[in-house]
This record gives sequence, C-alpha cells and structure tokens, in this order.
Amino acid sequence: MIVAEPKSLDEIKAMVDGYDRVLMVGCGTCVEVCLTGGERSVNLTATALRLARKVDGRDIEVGEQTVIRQCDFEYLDEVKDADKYEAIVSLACGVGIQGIARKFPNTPIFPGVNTTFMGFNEEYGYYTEMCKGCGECILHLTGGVCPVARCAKSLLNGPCGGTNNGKCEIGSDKDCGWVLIYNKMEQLGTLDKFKEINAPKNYGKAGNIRSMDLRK
Amino acid sequence: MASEATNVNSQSEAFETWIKDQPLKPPCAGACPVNADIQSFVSLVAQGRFKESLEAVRERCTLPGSLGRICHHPCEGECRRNDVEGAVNIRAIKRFASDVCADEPVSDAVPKTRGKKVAIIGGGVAGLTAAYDLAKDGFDVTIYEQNDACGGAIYTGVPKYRLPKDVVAQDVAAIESLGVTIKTNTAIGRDVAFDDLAKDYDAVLIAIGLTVSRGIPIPGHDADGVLLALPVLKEANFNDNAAIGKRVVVIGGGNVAFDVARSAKRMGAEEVSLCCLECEDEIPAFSWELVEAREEGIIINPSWGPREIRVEDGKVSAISFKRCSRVFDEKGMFNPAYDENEILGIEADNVVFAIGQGADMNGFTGTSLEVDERGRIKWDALTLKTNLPNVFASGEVVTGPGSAVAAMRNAHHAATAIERFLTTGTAGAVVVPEPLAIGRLPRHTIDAIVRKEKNHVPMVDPAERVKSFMEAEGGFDIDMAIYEAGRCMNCGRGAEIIAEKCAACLTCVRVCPFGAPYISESRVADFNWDSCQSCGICAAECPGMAIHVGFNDDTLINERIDAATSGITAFGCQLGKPEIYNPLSKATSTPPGLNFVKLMCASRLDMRHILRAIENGVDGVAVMACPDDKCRYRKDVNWAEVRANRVKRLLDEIGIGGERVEFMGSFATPEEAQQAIGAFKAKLAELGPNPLNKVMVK
Repeated sequence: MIVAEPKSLDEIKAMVDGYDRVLMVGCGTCVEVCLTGGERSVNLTATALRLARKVDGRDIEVGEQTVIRQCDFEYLDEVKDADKYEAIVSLACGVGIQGIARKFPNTPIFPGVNTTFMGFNEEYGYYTEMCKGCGECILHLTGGVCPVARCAKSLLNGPCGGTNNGKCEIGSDKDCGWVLIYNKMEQLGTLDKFKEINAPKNYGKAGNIRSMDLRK
Repeated sequence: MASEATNVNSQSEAFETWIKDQPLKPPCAGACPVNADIQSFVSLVAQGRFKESLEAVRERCTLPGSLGRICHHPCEGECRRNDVEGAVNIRAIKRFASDVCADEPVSDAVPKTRGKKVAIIGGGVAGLTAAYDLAKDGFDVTIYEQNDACGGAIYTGVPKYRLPKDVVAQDVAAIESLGVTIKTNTAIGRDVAFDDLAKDYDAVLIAIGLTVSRGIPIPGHDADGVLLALPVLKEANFNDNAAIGKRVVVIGGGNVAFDVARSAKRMGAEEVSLCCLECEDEIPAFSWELVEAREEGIIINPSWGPREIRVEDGKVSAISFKRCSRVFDEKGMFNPAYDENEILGIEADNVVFAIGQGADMNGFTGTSLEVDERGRIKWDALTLKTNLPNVFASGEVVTGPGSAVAAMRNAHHAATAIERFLTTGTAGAVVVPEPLAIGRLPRHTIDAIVRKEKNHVPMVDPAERVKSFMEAEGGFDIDMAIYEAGRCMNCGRGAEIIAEKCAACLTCVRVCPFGAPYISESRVADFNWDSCQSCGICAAECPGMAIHVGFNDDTLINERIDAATSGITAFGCQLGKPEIYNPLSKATSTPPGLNFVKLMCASRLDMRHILRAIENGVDGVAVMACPDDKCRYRKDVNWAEVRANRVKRLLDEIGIGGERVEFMGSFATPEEAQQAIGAFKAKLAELGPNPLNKVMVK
C-alpha cells in the first residue's frame, strides 16, 4: 500500500490562497486505508480549510468528493462538476494527484498530502516502510526482509558497524534491517547463505521515467 | 437553545423505520407478546427522557403502570444480558416511566376522523387495548363496562398488593383521554341489548374476559365456607373489612390460586395451604409467585387432588386430598391419575376453588351471536370474527386464560382486524410475522462486556407485607432507573456497513472491542450482530465513512449539535451527569447555555461532530467521557479523549484555538459537572467569543 501523510493546514491554505472555490477530491484506495485521503479526511480537511478562511475573514467554497482510485481515468470520470471550481486539492498519493491533473488539464491541482512510502499496515494507524520499488527484488536472498528499504544505508551486505543490540544507529526505535535478516535466516536454517556476498544491484532499474507494457 | 427539547427525534419512529428493513429483531422485543419497542423506551429512560419513554411504552403496551407491575416479562427471559450477569430489569423501568409521569396531564383527544363508531363490550385489558388502537386511528369508540370502573381482571381480580387500583385508574384515564367514551355500570343484556349494539355501531368487539370461577362437584362442595376464587378476590379488592376464616385451603396451582392464597393471608387467615394437582415443577403459576408465597408463610402442597370436603353443622371443617400421581397422560392431555391410598387431610374454615374460569355469556342469550355446543363464542382466530359480519371478539373470552400481555396482543390484532373491516368492508386474516431474534452472545463478546450488576426492585419484608394489602414491590428511583436502563446493550441496533463505500481497510476490525466486524466473503466489512454493542467507535474512525450506527447515526447527532449556535456544546455518554432532573418536563435537562449531545458512548464522538459545533458558532466544546472503570463499554483506548486532542490540534492550525475544546472525563453528580462547566465557561469568557462569530465574511 502507498502511504501518505497529511499536509499541514497552513500549507494547504497558502496553496489555495488565491481561490475562493476549490474542489477537494479523496481517493478510496491506499490513502483511505492509511487514514489520510479517504472520505473522512476530505470532510475534515475541507471543513478545517473553510473555517480557517472564515477566521481570516474570507469565505471559501470547498466541494467534497471521493472516488475509488485517482490512478485510473475511468474512476476519475466520477469527479463531477469540476468546472464549477477554480482549483482542485487532491488527497490522493502523488500518482493520483497527477492522474487528476491529467484529467482536468486546465485546472490548477494542489496536493493535500505528502506521499511517503510503500508500507505495511502494522496495526490501526501505524505503518512501516517495506519497499523502495528498486526494480530488482532480492527478498529470496535476504530471508524475506528487504535490505534496500529496511537498512538505513540500503546495504546489500550488512550489517554495518552502526548496528547496536538489534537497533540501527539512526534511532533506538528502528530495527537494524540486517539483524532482522540474520535472525530470519537463522530461523530458516539458511545462515550458510548469509555468508555469501550479494552482488551489486543494477540501480539503473530503480531509475526514473519507468513504465511497463504488458499489452503484447 | 439547548434543552431536552432539542432531542425531540422520536426513537419510536426511528424504530419503526428501522424494524421494517431489518430481518432480525432484538430478543426482548421478539419475546414480548406485543413486540413493544423495548430498546427505545429503555434508552429514553437512560437518557432522562421519561415522558417520551412512557409514550414509547404505551404505543404497544397500552397499560404501562399496570403491566409495569404485573407483566410476567418474557422480554427479560430473552435479554442477552442474562449471559453476562443478569437481564435488564425491563419491567421495573417501564413501571418507573409510568410512576414518574403519574401526575402528568392526560393526552389530548384524537380527532374522530374516520366517521365510524365502534362499541367494545368489556373494559378489561383486551377491550382497553383495542380502544386505544382504534381511538388513535380516529374511530369513535365506546366501551361498555359492567363494573363501576374499567380494568376487568386487573381491576376486580388482581390483588391490590400487586397492583394498586389508582394505577389501573391512571392507565384507564390515559386511554379515556384519547376521546374514548366509557359507560361503566352498564351490563350487556341488562342495560343494553347486544343486538342493538350490533345494529347501532359499525363494528362491535366482544372482550368480556372470563369472569366466572368454577368449582368441582366433590362431596361437600356446596357447604357453607366453600368459596370461589374471583368473589374472594373481589371482596379483598373492594371491601376494606374483608375477612376470611383462620384456616384456609386454596385448591389450584395457577396465578389466581396464588393471588387467593396470598390475599387470604392479608385478610387475616393464620394458616393458608395451597393444594394443586401438579407436582412442584409443573405448577403453572409464575416461579416468583411460589417464592413470594412461601416467604409469606403459605404452605404449598403439590400433587394432591381434592377428594372430599368434610362438613360439620353445614359448615366446612376439613378437606381431604388424594395423591395425584400424574396430571397429563402420554399424549400430553389433561388426564390426572390418583393414588387413592395416599390421603392428605387438612382442617379448614374455608376452602377456595381456584381451578379456572369461564365466560359469563348470559348477556348474549337469545341474541344473534352464535355459540358452540359448550357455550363458547364461534370465533375465527385469524380474522377475530364471530358469526356476525361486524362483530369481533378478543381476549380471554375467546383465547382462554392467559397473561395480561397476551390478551393485549390479541386485542392489537382485533383492532387491526376492525380497522381493516371498517376501511375495506371485508374482514381478513391478521397475520403477524414472527420476527427472528438475534442469536446468543458469542463467548468472546461476553468476555469483552463490562459487568454491571442488575438493580433489583425493593420488596417489602414478608412479615410486614402480609399485614395489609399495601403494594409489596417498590419501584426504582431516578438514579436506579437510569443506571438500569444503561445496562441495555441495544442488541442489533449497532453498526451497519455501507458496502459500496467500504475499502476493506480493517480499521473497524481493529478498533472494535467486541470482535463484531469482519471482512466478509464479498471482501467488504460486515458486522456480526450477535456481537455488536452499538458503541459507535468504528463509525467515528472509518476512513470511508462507510459505517452507519443504528440509533446513533450522524443525522440524529447532527440535529442535536445544530440545536446550539452559542454557549457550550457538550458531548458525552447518555448516562453522563451534567443534567438535573426537571419535574416539569419529566426529563433531565441542562442549564441554559449548555447543549448536551448524548451519545450511546462518548467513543461515538467523531471529530466532525466537534467541528460542526464550532462551525455553528458555539464558544466551546466540552467532551465528557466516563473513565475506563465506569464506561459501560470496554475500551482499550479512550477514544473521546483521542479525538478531542486531534481536534484541539486542528483548531490550533485553523486559528480558532484548541483551548476551546476541553476533555473533561465524567462526573459523579450534576453539581460536579456544573462546576467544571462553570470553570470552562470562565476560561472561554477570557478567550472571548468564537472567532467565527467575530469576523465579517467578505
């Protein structure tokens, strides 16, 4: 799941400062699941924006809609009456925000959230990063624990000297990814493989402007 | 402005709408013969809305004060709280609602818009109930009652220690006030001819009950001192100097027999024995009657059949019984067998037969009403019709002996049948679908439910209560009633999923303390109604706003929020105490300037609710949530506090200021609450008015 965090109200307010009619659009998939961009968040953010502007002495009309996904044109067709608004604030991840920007090419689009990572839903309201989208998965070599995402240095052969009683030197609340890998491989009885040096990854695959074509 | 008057949404209406769409019914309402909207009236008492509660009771239970005392409350038998620590004391709550409103002015008459007249013969439970329904429907209803007041068996038969007569009068007055004409001391056949009624009225309902006690023609049955149950009970009810012999033997094991035995004790009998055919486990009277009778010193002799009454100088001196070895045969038919070798003799000054009753059909002799070979009205149980096109019959006269609430059920059906006949011109079967009740509480849910011990009503000490016909059972005071009503778990009125909005995100599954939500095969959340306790935690967290909570839905809550545009709006548990009982409105109310929005649990509070109140212009929002050990729901997180803190941060960002929201916990007394509210008010006064009210929007 793609995880995003809310932008501060101040930031959103500043972005739409020049507009009096904005449409706030939520996304009913990843960002809804991580409690950031679903219908409830749209309603709370829209209300907060309206109130903040009222305190400033200026009214603002904020329309509210939530679609199933903003990363599919078909679902974006559900966004109605966008032409009645001067601008759109999207609470989708960066993908969805760009989707809605493509859907409404003549309308200024503003992000209502900061897209942060691909994460695991640990428990109510708590998410951890699990994947960097590196394009060359080696989870079979590391006991199902990703060193790219879960080691602070993305070391392919670790741990480094900063490992400290199972925690990472960047913070005592962060597990050392390589200790997790060691423990898991021990559990699996594959510690002999731990000693093998992992070859450098082709980070070219993690490059920009990626696409995928399954049509043929 | 804020007051209880803001909470005007009728829960009965909500229930009506709700129940139509629901395949399941709460077990209490399902077990209730009249399907009373029990959760509504209980919940209204919990909220301090007593007058509204009484109206919700009366809708189906037309004699609330009387049934609040004598109903055998099958609802409580099915209450799912039985599996936790004891059923909600529903009957006592009903009685409380009636008692607290005893001095209320009666309702206005309902306009007689239907242009049709209905005569009801017999002003007992059935007749009064049908009169209530038909008068409410706009018919012109006249009750013909042979006694000097209405009530029937509950007036003449049920003893005063169980049901004071002024309570019956209060219930009757409420029905009369709807515009029902009551002609007392008017007997059919003596004062009015039945055929005239059938001619003069568009419809007639015969609801004369069973008013004649039967005896058994054993040797000595006609001796001086042999009595019948109903005359004894009537004497006890209406003669303040009623007396009876020192040694009394009552024959019979039903509730009437127990009424007689316990009345005899109060009339001065020193030794009262009750002998019945049935063995201890088969005794048909309600179990609590046996307990209370024994407490009063009545000797119960099960498994004895009357054999002979010994007569000396024309007067009863003793009675002998033979051992009853079986009451029902293999086919389940009443067919007692005796062992004549085992004999019980009891000396007695009076023997009272309390073995059953029949109808007094004298007023109908020679009329066009047809009866069968045993003198019973020819009657169709489905259409409630007699042989005459416009004459219906209801209650014990046609159904046979039963409980008061069963007669009430039958009378509701009769009113439906008559209404249909008078509307369409033809009678039809009254078919009432039996609702499916919700299942038992699952073990994991029982474990998660906070124990709240049942409040019992106080009983007068047995030694004291047998001295007179004073009411033996007491009622709840306000605090007891509110506490007890708060034990209701609102089974089946909790969360419902709006499937098309659900993202299957698992939030509800994770926050529910009772394990009610689950992800269904169709890959959206669903709720196990057996487990849901209606707390509303899930609805206030669902990111897709895909959960609707039965009674605590946003529409209702928002209406309450919108009642205030200034002052303070407080949110809290419906059992919270910022309110003081107001005897004028028969409801609890808050002081001016405080709009108290009651939630099933403070955990139902949604951040959006707080923002809405602020947007409406109130200066501050108080959040009152019970501490964990007081909350009637188990909660691992104090959600109300969490959400209050989130809104505080948001209000800081907005520029209104988080200090306008205060989390207060809960209070033991209204005074404590007032004090905290007062301090908050002072703080808000320093802050000045809500900035939203100050600014002029361009």
